[in-house]
Amino acid sequence: LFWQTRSQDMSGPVTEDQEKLLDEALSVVKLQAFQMKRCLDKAKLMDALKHASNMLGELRTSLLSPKSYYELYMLITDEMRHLELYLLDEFQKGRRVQDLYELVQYAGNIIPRLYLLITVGVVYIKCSEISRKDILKDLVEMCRGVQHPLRGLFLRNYLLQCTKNVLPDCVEEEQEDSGSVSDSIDFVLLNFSEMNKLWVRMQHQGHTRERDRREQERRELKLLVGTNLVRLSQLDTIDVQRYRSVVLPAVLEQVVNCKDALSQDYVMECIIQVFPDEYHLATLQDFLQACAELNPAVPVKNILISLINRLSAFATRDGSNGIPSDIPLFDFFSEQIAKIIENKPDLSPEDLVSLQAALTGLALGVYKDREDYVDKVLETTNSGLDKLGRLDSPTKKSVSAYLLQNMLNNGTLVPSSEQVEQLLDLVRCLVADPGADAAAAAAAATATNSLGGDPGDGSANGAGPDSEADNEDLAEEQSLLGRVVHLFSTGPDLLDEQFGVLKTARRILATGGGRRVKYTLPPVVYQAYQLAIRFHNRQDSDDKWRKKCRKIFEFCHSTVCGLAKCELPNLALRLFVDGALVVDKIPFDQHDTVAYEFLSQAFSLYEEEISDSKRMTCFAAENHEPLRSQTVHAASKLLRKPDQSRAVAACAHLFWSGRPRELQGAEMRDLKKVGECLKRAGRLASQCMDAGLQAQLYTELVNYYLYFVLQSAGSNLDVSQLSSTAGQLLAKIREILSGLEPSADSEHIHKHFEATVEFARSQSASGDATIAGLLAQLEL
Amino acid sequence: SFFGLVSQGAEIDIVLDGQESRKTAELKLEDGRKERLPLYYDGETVSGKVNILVKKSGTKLEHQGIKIEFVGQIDLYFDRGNRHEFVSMVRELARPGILTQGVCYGFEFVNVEKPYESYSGANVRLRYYLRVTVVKRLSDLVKEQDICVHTLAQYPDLNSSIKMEVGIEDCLHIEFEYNKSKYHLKDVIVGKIFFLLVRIKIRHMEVQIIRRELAGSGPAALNESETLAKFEIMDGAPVRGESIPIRLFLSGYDLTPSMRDVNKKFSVKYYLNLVLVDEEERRYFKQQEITLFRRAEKRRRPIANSYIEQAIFHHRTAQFGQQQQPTTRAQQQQSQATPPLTTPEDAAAAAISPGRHGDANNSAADSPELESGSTHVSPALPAARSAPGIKDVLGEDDDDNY
Repeated sequence: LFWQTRSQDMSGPVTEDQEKLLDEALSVVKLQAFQMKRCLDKAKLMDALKHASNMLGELRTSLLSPKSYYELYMLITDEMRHLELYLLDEFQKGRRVQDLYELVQYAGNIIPRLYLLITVGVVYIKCSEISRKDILKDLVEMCRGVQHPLRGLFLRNYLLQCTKNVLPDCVEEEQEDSGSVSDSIDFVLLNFSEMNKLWVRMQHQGHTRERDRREQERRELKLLVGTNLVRLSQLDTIDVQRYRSVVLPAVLEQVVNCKDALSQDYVMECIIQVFPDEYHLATLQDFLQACAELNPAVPVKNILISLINRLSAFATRDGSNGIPSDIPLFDFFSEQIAKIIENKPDLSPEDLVSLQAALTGLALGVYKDREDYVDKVLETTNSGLDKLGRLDSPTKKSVSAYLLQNMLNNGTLVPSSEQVEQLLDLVRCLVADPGADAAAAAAAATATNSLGGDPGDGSANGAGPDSEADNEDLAEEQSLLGRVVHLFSTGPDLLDEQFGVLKTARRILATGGGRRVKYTLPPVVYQAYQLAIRFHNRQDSDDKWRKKCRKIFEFCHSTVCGLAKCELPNLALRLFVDGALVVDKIPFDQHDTVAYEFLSQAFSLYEEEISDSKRMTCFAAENHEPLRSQTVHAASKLLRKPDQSRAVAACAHLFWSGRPRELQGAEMRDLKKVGECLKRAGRLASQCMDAGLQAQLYTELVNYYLYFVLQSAGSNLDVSQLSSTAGQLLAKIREILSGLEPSADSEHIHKHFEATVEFARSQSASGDATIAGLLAQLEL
Repeated sequence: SFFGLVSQGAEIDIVLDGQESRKTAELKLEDGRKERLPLYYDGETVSGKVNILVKKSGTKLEHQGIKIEFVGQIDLYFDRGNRHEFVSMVRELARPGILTQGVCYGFEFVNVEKPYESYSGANVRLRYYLRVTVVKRLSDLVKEQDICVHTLAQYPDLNSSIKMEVGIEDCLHIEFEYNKSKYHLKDVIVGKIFFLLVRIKIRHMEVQIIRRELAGSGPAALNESETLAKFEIMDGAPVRGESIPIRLFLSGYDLTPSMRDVNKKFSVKYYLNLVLVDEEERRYFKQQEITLFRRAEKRRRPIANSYIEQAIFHHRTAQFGQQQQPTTRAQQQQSQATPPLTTPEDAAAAAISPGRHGDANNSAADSPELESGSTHVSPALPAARSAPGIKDVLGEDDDDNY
C-alpha cells in the first residue's frame, strides 16, 4: 500500500501529459467521491472513510503542475464538504462516532490521513468548542509531516480554509478553555511560517535550468501563503497593541529570515495591503527596520512607495483625521530610508532616488505646509548620492536625471539660494564635468567625423553612434536641467530673493561650459526678464523697482555676454533681442540706453558671426537707422573678403525688407541702398584672388539681383540698374568659368551658375512682360 | 482421535462457567483462521461442566474412566513430535464404567497458574486447552476446548524515552525520539524526528512495526520477521532543522506483548523501524526495540472526547526536553539525578547492538535498581550533538524486502 508511489515520480511534469494525467486523477476522484456519498447515504461511515481516503490519495501525486494540482485539489475539497456535512449532521443529532479522531489516524499514508484529520477535527470543533484550542494546535503541528512544498502548501491551505470560521476570536479573560485569540494567532503564525518555508523551498528544487519556470509557478501559488495574513487581519480582537507586540514581529521575523527575495517582496506588500492603515502607522518603525534587512534583490522601493502611497491616501481621505500628530510619519520614513541606504551599500541609485522621490511625495501630500521636509529629503538624497561617488558617470547622470524628472513631475519648487546650491551640487554631474571636457570634445569630434561615414557601419565602428548618443543624451539631460531652472522660484512675493536665486543659479550653471550653458542659462535669463516684468507690475509697492530692473538687465547682459563668449552667437543674439523687447516695455530710467546696449551687443555678435540679415527685421526702435548702417559697416569689416562680400550682399535685405516703426510695418525697400550694398559686394568679390571663389560669389550676387528684380515686379521701382549690373556679372562669370580648370569645385560652381541662368530664363519665359524685359537685359 | 467420536455414538461437550458473559479474544489458528475464544487470566479459576451425550438411547458406552485435563503447551511447527507442556493438570471425572445415557460432570481448576500468554506465530504456538478423555479399550474419546490467556502487566515503574542520534557521515544526521520504551497494546507511540543534517533528497519516511519471532534454541532455532505496520510519517524532503511528529496508535494492529525466552522455547520481540527512502529508492533505516505489554483494562472515562485529549496529551509529550507520564516523574528525576552514565563510546556500543537494549529493559523491569546502569537512557542532547563520534550508523538497503 505504502509503496505504490509511481516510479516515474522523478520525471517531473511534462506539459503535454498534464491534461491526460489530470483527467485520470479527476475520474478516480469522481468515482471514489460517488462511492463515498453512496456509503454515507447508507450510513456506512467506515466504508465512506475508506473511499474518502482513496480519493484523497490522488493528492499524493508528484506528476501534476501546480495549476493541475490546484484543479484536483479544488474538486477533492469540494467533495470533502459532503463528508464534513454528514459528520456535522450526525454529531448534531447526538450520534457521536467514537474515536473518529483516532480512527482516521490509522490511514497509512500521511496525505489522506491529514486531510481526514483536519476534516474530522473541524467537525469536533464545530460541535463543541471545548477542545478547540487543543485540536487547532494539534492539526497545525501534525501538518509538519508533509515536507513536500506543493503538497504541503495545499494541505495547509486546506487547514486554513476549514478553520476559517472556527478560530477563537476573543480576548484571554473571556474564554479560558476553548481558547482565545492568542491561540488563533499562534495557529495562523505557525501555519504561515511553515507555508512560507515550503514556498521558499520550492525555488531550490529540481534543475537550475528550470529556475524561471519554478519562479513562475511560485508566483501562481503566492496567494496560498498570503491567505494566512488575510486570516489574521480578519480576527477582530487583534488590536493595534496585539498587532504590534505579537503578530507583526513574528511575520517580519519569518520574512527577514527566509532571505528569499520573491517571498519578501510579496509578503511585505501583502502586509501593507491586508492590515489597516492605523496599524501601519503604529508599527512604522518595526516595518521599516525590517525593510532595511531584506534581501538586496528585493525592490524595497516598491514596498516603501506602496506604504507611503497608502498612508498618503489614508491621510487625505475624506473623513480621515489625517496622520495623528504624535506620529512623526515623515521623520520615520526619512530616518528609516536613510538607514536603508546605509545598510544596503549596493542599493541601486535608481532605487535610492525613487525612495526619496516617494518621500517628497509624502511631504508634499501630507505636510503641505512643511516645505522644510522637502529640503530634508534633498539633503538626505544628497548625502546618499555622495556615497555614490564611485558610480560611473552614466549612472550618476541617470540618477540625477531621475531626480530632476521627479521634481518636474511633482512641480517641486526650489525656494532659496541655499537650496538651489544644494540641488545643483547634488546633480553636479549634469551641471558640469570638468575632468571629462577634453574627452567630450574628442567624442564630439569623432561624432562629427563619423557622420560622413557609412551609416551601416555603425555597429562595427562603435565610437561614432555612441558619441552621437552621448550628444543626444547631453541635450536631453541639459534640457531637463533647463526645465528645472523654471522651478527655482521663491513664490510670488519674494522678488528680491528670487533675484538672489537666479544669481546663484547662474554662478553655478555657468561652470558647465558651452555645451551645457546653451541649455541651462537661457532659462535663467528668461526668468530674469520675467522677474523684471514682475517688478514693473509691482512698481506701486516698491520704490526702487527701477533700480532693481536695471540691475536685472545688467545681470542678463553679463550672462548673455558670457553665452556669446561660449560661441553661441545665435543664442546670445536672440536673448539680446528678446531682452531688448522686454526692456522696451519697461520704462525704467535710461531704458532706451539699455535697449540700445542690448541691440548693439546683438550687432557686435552679428558683425562677428551672423550674415543672415533677416534676423534683424524684428528690430524696431529709434536706433534703427544707425543700427542698419552699423550692420553694413560691420559686414564690410569682416576679415575675409568673401565673407565681407556675402555679408554686405546680405545687408541689402536690411534696406529692402526692414520694417522701421515709422513705416508702420511696411517694408522700406530702399532701392538705392540695396544697389549700393550689392555693388559693394561685387567690388569685394572682385578682390578675391581665387577665380573659382570669385565666380561663386558672383553667382550668388546674381541671385541677389534676381531676387530684388523679381521682388520689385509690379511696383514702380526702377530696377533696370540692377538688371544691367547682373548682366555684367553674368558675362564676368562666363569668362571666369571658361578659364577654370575642371575640378569638383568648379563643377559645383558651373552647376550653380547654370541653375541660376535656367531660373532666370524660366522667369522671363513665364508671365510678366516687365520682368521679361528686365531679364532680357541679362543677355541670357 | 476425533474420527471415532461420532461413530462411538457419544458426543462430548465442554461448557465453561459464565461462558456467555466471559470476554473473548481472537486467536489465530494454525491454519490461519481466526477463532474467538473465551478469555482467561493468570490465576483465574477455570471451571465448568462436561456433558457427554449418548447418541442413540439404549446404547451402552463402556469406558475405562473419564478425565479432564488443563494443558498449557508450546508447539514448534517444525518439530511436530515434540510438544512441550508447561502446565498439565488432571481431574478425574468418572471411574471406569458404562454410560447408558447422557451425563454431566462438573470440573474446576482452582486458581490455575497460566504464566504465559496465548500466542500463535509463524513457527510456534502457545496454547491452553481443556481436554476431556473418555478412556476406552481401543480408541479413547477425546474432546478439546481451547481457551485464550492474556497476561497482564503493571505499568512499568520506569519507562524512559528512546532518544538517539543516528546518521551517515556527512550525509544524513537525524535524532529521533520515541516518548517511551515500553508501550501497552492500546498505547500511542508519540515521537519526533529531528533533522540535524540532510544532504540527500529524501522522498518519504515511515515507521514500521516489526515482530521478530525466535523459535527453538541452538543451531536449529528459527528466526522469523514480520512487518505488521507501515506508517508514513513524512512526505517530501525536509531540510535541516525540521522536526517531524510521529503519532502511531497501536490498537489498530495485531500485536502481542513482547515475550522473552518463554519456557526456554521461544521469544517474540518488537521493533520500531524508522525508514527513510531517498529519491533513488535507497532506504536508510534504524531499528529500535520496544517492549510491548498488556495493560489491565482501564475503565473508560465517560467524557466523549477523552480520546482526543489522550491523543493530544501524548502529542504534547513529544516535545523534546519534556518528560512523559506524570506517574513516572519521580523515577525520571531519579534517573536524571544519576551522574552521566554513558560515555560516547558506551552509547555507540549500545546503539549498534540493539539487543542489549532489550536485555537492559527486561532486567530493569525485574530489578529497577539496575536501571541506572542501563544504556537505555540517551545522553543529554547537546552532548550528543557535539560529539560526532557517537553517531550511530543507519542501516542502508537497496531492496524493499520488508
